[in-house]
Amino acid sequence: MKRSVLIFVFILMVIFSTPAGALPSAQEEINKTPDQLVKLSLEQLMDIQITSVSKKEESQFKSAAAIYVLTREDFRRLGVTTIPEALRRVPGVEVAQFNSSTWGITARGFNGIFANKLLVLLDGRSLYNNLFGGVYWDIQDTVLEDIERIEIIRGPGGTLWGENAVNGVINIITRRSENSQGVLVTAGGGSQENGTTTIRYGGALNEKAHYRVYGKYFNRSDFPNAAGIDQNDQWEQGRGGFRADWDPSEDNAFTLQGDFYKGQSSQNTLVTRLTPPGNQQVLNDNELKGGNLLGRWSHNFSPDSKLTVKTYFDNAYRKETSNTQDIYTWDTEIQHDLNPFENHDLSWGVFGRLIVDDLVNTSTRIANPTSQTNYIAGFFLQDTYHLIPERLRLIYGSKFGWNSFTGFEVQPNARFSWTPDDRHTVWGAVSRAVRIPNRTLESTTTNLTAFPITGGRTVVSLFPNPNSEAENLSAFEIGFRQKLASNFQWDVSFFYNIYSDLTTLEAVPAQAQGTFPNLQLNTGTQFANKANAESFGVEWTADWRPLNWWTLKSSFSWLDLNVTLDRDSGDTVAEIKEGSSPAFQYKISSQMDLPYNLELDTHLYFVDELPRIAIPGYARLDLRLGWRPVDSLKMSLSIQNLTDNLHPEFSDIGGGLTPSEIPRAAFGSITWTY
Amino acid sequence: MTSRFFRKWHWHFIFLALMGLFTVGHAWAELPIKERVQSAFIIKFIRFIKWPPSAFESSPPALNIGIVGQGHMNRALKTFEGKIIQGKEVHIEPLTQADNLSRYHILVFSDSTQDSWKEWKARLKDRPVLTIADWDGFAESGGHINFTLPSGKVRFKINYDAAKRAGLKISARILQLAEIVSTQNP
Repeated sequence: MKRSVLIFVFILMVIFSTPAGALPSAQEEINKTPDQLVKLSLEQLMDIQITSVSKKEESQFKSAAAIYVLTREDFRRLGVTTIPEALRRVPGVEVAQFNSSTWGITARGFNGIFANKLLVLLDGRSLYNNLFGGVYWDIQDTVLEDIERIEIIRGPGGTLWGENAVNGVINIITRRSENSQGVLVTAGGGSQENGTTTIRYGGALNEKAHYRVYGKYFNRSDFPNAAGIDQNDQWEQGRGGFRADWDPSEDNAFTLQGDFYKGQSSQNTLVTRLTPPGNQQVLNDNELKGGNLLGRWSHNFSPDSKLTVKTYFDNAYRKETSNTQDIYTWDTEIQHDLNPFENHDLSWGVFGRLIVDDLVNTSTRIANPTSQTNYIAGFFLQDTYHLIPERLRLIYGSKFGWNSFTGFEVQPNARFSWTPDDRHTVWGAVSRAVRIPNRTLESTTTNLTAFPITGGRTVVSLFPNPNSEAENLSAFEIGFRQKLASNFQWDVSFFYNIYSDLTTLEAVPAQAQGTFPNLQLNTGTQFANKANAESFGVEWTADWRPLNWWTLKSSFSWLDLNVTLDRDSGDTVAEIKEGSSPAFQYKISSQMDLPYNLELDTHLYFVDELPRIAIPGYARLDLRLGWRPVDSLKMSLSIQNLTDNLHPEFSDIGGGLTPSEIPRAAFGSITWTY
Repeated sequence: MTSRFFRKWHWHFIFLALMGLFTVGHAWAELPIKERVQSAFIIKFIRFIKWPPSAFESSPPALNIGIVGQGHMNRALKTFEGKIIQGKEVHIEPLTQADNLSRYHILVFSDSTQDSWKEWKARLKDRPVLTIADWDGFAESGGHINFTLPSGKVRFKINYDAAKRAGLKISARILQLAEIVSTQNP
């Protein structure tokens, strides 16, 4: 490791000492001094494009939350093939790959394979699984070139985004179909990618109606374990979909979109057997299929009053060795944005979601009942008061929701953002958010192991708690952003989080069932809410464009999380979360536009150890070389983990899944657009 | 292994120093393009503005540009310090409330002066001082030249009547490129 550290430092030095003037610049005027500019005619001066700040960038700069936007360009220049891998670049976000198709992703702590405090949405459709709590990343995909941007909000977003947006919200937003017209074909392959191909076609029905359709397939090979032995955790998926946007008039806009997918992801998992020979390690090919259809209508009553209606239907089927689930979700939301008084922007709405599941019981997992309907419904109200227009805003509001697990939940927040001039923003927020329980916590028994005793057997299980409570967060945040120059911007945010009613496992008295000689002694632990936690952290981000052809993006984050148990708790697992997220993360990305239409991109990640789950810290270097010989053709060659042939990023102590290690990998792709 | 590596504090210092390097990067960073282009416009305008002869009594004749408020304009215009335009030496200086306004031929008002603009306007009355700013509504509230940035390119509005009242003659050469506005009563 010492040697690789030296290599990194050397590479950094090379990056930072690249001669500046050696390369041509794209837009000459931008480099001219005032003295040179004054030699131009008035008309020539009027023709210079000043890198103007768009409305979106401006609102991002003034926003009263720790927001970061990963642009389409950022995504492309990472040279990665999945959404989770792209999130690795985002400041303060923890991305730990577990095996070829599984990731633990969150922000501000509590990472896990089912990181249940992060809400993820794709075009407004929730990707959060209500059975386990968390996101199954192996079924989340789309045409990566059609992703417009990914907005990441660290910190609670319950008021606007709803339940489970405790530690953060990730919004994946795809392009409108008029922006993805024509043919796009990509093909790629590499050491971990047996092959991936995408075909997308975008067309227009008339000036006001556009659409696109796509098909995509990939097949990824398995990852090794620490000994270098392949884990057979390969992953393949076929996917198709469409999006249509129709703006019949200036005041009406319709969107209809949908996807379907079918695939397989394999993993090694421990299956509980109640009879000898007992638990078995099983390699399983998870069967995955699903689809969704989403419609959105927005209507302007007047320039100051806008109504948006969104509804979607989603089905996700997953068959694993000990967990088969078929989940149907129907969600509707109506939002009204208006300007009732001067300097007030009011946003209110109603929402409802129905989740119907159909589960299959196995010797490991027993749901009771096997089929259940759950709901979340409610309304929200938020006002933005422009105390000093353009300069000082107060935002306050709350979500009021009812859910079938815990009943009534309130998620209020109050924020301010002060922009004394266009170059500085100070913001702060106090908010509450909840993570509501799920089917696993409320009504599913998980058998861990069984062993014979005189006259029968003992079964050790994890028992559900039908009275599970919501986990609560009270969060205090403050942040500062500064635009030091047109090519340099930085920000810092501090947070102090107080969590209560966190999930614990409490021993339950053994219960006998049946009679001799078929006596069964049930013992184990039951879910409860007897832990609390405090966390404190800092996140620092800087984007710098020292030269026209060179952009540097860097971030640093630090997290300190302390879990405490109630006095009557005998839990032994809640405190694992103290050390399942890195205390430190450093991320540095360099994007260079070189002559001959070449691009050289370097991404460095330093991730601290995860002491509670025995993962050592690691440094990771990803490189990408891009070349665009002609406008319609793009080629890209990337290497992940250049300096390290193998390292673990996460483990599942007590969870039964066998982790793989992350190997060095090379990937090449060709994209043709027409 | 890396955990031990992270526990050594000097590594954190190295990283933070690196990040600090980013932060001081702005010191080398050039001036924002907007201010550079706007300052070039201001210097070019001088040829197309006619001040009353009484405005140039000093000898050798000087053309004084005052910068009101904070911002990058001061640094951008400073590059023209000492330049001779039409036989007059250009001087750039930041301005305070106490300065003798009659010394100046041009006053550039930065963003931060929006709130105090009314007082400045009252103090200037109709002195032959060309007033320039780039914030919304400047020309409509009696300023002379107002830079705007529609679709990211520099344009300007001119309040011709206000300039005329101040005794300034603006050449047709720049009037034809500008949007002419008049003072709107608040």
